[in-house]
Amino acid sequence: MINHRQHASYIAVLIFGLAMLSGPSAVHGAEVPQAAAEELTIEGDNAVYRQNENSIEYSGNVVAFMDGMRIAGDKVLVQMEANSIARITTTGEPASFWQGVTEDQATTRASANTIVYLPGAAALELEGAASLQQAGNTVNSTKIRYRLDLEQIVASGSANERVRMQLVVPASDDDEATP
Amino acid sequence: MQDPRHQGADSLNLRGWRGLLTGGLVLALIIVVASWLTPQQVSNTLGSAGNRESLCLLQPTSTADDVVWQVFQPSGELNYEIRASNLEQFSQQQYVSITKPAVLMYDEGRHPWRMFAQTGIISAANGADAGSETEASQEALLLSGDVVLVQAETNEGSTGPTLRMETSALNVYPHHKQAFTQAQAMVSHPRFVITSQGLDLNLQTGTLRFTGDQTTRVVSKLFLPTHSKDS
Repeated sequence: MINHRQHASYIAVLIFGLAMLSGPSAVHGAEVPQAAAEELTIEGDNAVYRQNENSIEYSGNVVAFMDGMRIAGDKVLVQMEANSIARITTTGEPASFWQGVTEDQATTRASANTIVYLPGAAALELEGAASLQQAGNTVNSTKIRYRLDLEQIVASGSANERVRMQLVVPASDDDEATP
Repeated sequence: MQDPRHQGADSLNLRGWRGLLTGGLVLALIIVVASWLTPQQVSNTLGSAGNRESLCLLQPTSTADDVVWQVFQPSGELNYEIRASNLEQFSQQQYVSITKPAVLMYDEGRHPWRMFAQTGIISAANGADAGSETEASQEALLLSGDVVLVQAETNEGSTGPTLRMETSALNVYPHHKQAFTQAQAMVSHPRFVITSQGLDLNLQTGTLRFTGDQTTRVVSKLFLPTHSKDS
């Protein structure tokens, strides 16, 4: 025969125990748990940290990478604001970018004279002979903004250069069925 | 019957061989003894006066415990400070050996840099007059053994050091507010960690230059903020 009081007590103890293991925030419920920060690795031949400018500049075959993303260029400038990394600017001839599981299986590739990575917005801003290829489609423009999380492209031209897109139109089944 | 001339010749040959053998043994003995002793020791064993002098060279001319050495700017502000649990001065060699040194100096914004190590050597300038500005400007402090350099904000509400460097050896020029190391160095910050083989520090401006070598590049990890949905 089930003792409901004991059963309820056991459940309460179990819930309380799980809450204690989860930490004070779970017990008090006052703080929203913070997501773990992502790590971006940057390698270069040299680097200069300027405390009064709150910036780090890398030079010499610079590569920045983290899971699923890689940026390469001649120089990389990391700018921090209030101890938070605000933007990472890569310059090169050109600077390059790919996104995917591996470089061979990259779903998105891009290149430009300047590639700016905005961690807070999960966005890339490509400027100067910007080109982006995704799923066989290519976009060339003066400026391209690309959302990494949404894989969304926004391209804008200039007075001297219009946006050029090369799209791959997949063959439809209707065309094949029609004699 | 043996020719007496041959007997004499045999005798002479036997004495010659004995002489050569004896000489060879003495020479071998000298070589063996000399190999055990350094030239300085050999010189000392040959002369007691030289021996006494060499012993004096190894002894500090003065020692002190729990030392605090402060250097001030012309304006009266503290330029830098060196504390040590023990100090030994070697006048003839023109250097000072310190144990458990703790160095304090300020940058242009009066943010303190603090340095700690197992041992240190303060070398005096060569050829400069004692107490002269030239001597002060050429003083070098070599820190070695678990060298740690930290800088903390002086603003209220600071939770701890904002910059921390670790290396095995560090050359510091207090008068010029410069330091450098050719050993592996790691710099930690709340938003990044950088490792390199070699590091130049401008302690006045807070500029750190990381260098690599043929086999090692500058590697850093940046801790990025989590992105928001809004663009």
